[in-house]
Amino acid sequence: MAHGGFSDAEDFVRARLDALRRFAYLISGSAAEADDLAQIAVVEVWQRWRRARENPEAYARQVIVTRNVSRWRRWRREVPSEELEHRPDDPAGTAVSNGALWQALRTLGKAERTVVVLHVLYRYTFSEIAGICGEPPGTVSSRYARAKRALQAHLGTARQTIRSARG
Amino acid sequence: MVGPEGERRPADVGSDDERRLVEELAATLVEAQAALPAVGPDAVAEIRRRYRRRRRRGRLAGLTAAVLVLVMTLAGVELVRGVGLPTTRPPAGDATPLLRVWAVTPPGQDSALRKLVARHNDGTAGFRVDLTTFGNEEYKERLRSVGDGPDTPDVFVSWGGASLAQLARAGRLVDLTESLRRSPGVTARFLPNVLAGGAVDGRLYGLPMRGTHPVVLFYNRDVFDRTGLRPPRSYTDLLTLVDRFTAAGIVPIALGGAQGWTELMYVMYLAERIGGPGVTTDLVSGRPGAWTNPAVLEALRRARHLAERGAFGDDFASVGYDDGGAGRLLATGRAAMHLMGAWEYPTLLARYPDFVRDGGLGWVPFPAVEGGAGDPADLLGVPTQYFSVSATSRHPEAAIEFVRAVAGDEFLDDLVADGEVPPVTDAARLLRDTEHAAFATSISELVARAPSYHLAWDQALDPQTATVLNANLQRLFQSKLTPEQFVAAMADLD
Repeated sequence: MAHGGFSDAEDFVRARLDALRRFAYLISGSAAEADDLAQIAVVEVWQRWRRARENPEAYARQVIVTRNVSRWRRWRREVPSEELEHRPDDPAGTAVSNGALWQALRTLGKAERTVVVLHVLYRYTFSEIAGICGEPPGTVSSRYARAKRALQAHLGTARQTIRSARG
Repeated sequence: MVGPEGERRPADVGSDDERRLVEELAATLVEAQAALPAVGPDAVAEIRRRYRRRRRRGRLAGLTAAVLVLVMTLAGVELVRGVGLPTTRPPAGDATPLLRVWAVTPPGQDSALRKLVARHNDGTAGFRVDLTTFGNEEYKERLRSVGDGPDTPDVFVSWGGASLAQLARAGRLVDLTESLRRSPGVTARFLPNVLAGGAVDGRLYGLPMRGTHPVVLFYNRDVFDRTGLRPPRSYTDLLTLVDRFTAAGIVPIALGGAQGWTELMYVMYLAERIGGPGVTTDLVSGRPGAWTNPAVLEALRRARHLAERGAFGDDFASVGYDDGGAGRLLATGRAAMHLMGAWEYPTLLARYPDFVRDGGLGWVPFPAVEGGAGDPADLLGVPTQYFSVSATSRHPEAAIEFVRAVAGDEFLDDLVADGEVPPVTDAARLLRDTEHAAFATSISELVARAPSYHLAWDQALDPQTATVLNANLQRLFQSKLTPEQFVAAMADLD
């Protein structure tokens, strides 16, 4: 059995497709993009299982990050505007408690947003993120600092939770 | 939320502001991630089709890659590493089993469930837990596919009863009976009538993992005091109260009739009070003739009669529950009573803190029906949700260990802190000195005393049937459907 705990690529994909999509959604900000990126990653894992099997999760995440950022770079060259980023397919838009913070996250550049997601939610260190993005660690930490400054203004007031769910 | 298999360090925290930012960012990301709808059951097959197309197109390239892979494999691990990913060395603890856990989205980001998962992901458990949560209606659909098909969890939540029985009898669940017998404190801690919802054919397949929410009759004490009346103990009392309050210009019972499930509470309680708890058992297990049971017909007649007698006021059909309309009628004294799940207490507390804190809110069980076969102490509502282990889990021992933690003090204390009433035998001790011990303890005692405690029909039935049921109830309450037509329509679905 592979080190990753999955006996084959099929098992890995079945178990983790949903998690990969959700990760892709956070860094791309688009549900349709997320499906696309997760599919690309899954196909990469299938094709390169011998290489990916050691840590398929890390491999797939790296594919997603790279593809996401490289698309962004291409778009930036073709369309010098962030307008394209604001797609309607944003299920989180109405679901999160602090909508302003989520919108602020979405208006960050993809590179900044990727650093925030990997560091804050997935708890990767800056040097690990540097490896994933193929950038020097200094670039990653300065991106994170820049993102924090941009987001600080959108901190909500203390959360209130009212339980009215039916059980 | 589970991180990658990576070396995990907390996101660097400095000042309080920075800590708040990191916390709020993490919470927002978790919520955003959860908002993405889950993949369809055919997702992997679709990707496979796409993959095949790509392979055909790039067969030569693929062949070259295969040769290259072979060469690299022969050359050994070092070479593979050398040309492989330049980064993210697979970190230590990589072989740790991963438990996929499915649950219904709990209220609040910091709920007992999320804390339970976090405790298992701090590196001490020997396995990791990946929690995926779903909205209530979507989850009812997903539940039926557990253990069947590719995208299936190790541990999942259900509402017990019929849905759990189907899965257990299809061989899709791990029988927990023997392994829990070896840790006797676990099952003994739960109230037997709630634990029963996790049992199928005398074997245990589920353990309670949330608080209990029976439906009770709330009332406005001030309104009752002012009019010199007492809350009802029997259905006859209730009818008398309807007439007295109507005469006094007070809506006797607030009803959010803009939704059918609020009306269902009357029908199912009346049916059980008249025909006993077997009425519910038959309905949710799909037994033929369950809808044409005379007790169901009689319950429908009485419910429609209540509406026509003015029990719910004139415009109940346009009163909402979710928008707070029905609760407002009760809290402001324009209505005298409100039949609702125990979750109404924290809801009213949040909206009308003075009303609740000053003791304005009272509650009694649903009245007895004279001559009925049902025990007046029987309850309906949401007994709890149960954790079960899928038979397809590759880590059943880890899964059972995780599930067993719901009987632990830490988890139960967290549930109490969430405002829940855990269905355990020592609830009174856990609830003592908490902010709302009086209500919680009283609910706990009602549950402990109930000979039978069933899940609400619409929650136990499949989503399609439940939708038709609730739509028909709205028509019944508005006198657009007779009880006989109602029964015929429901029986036709079977």
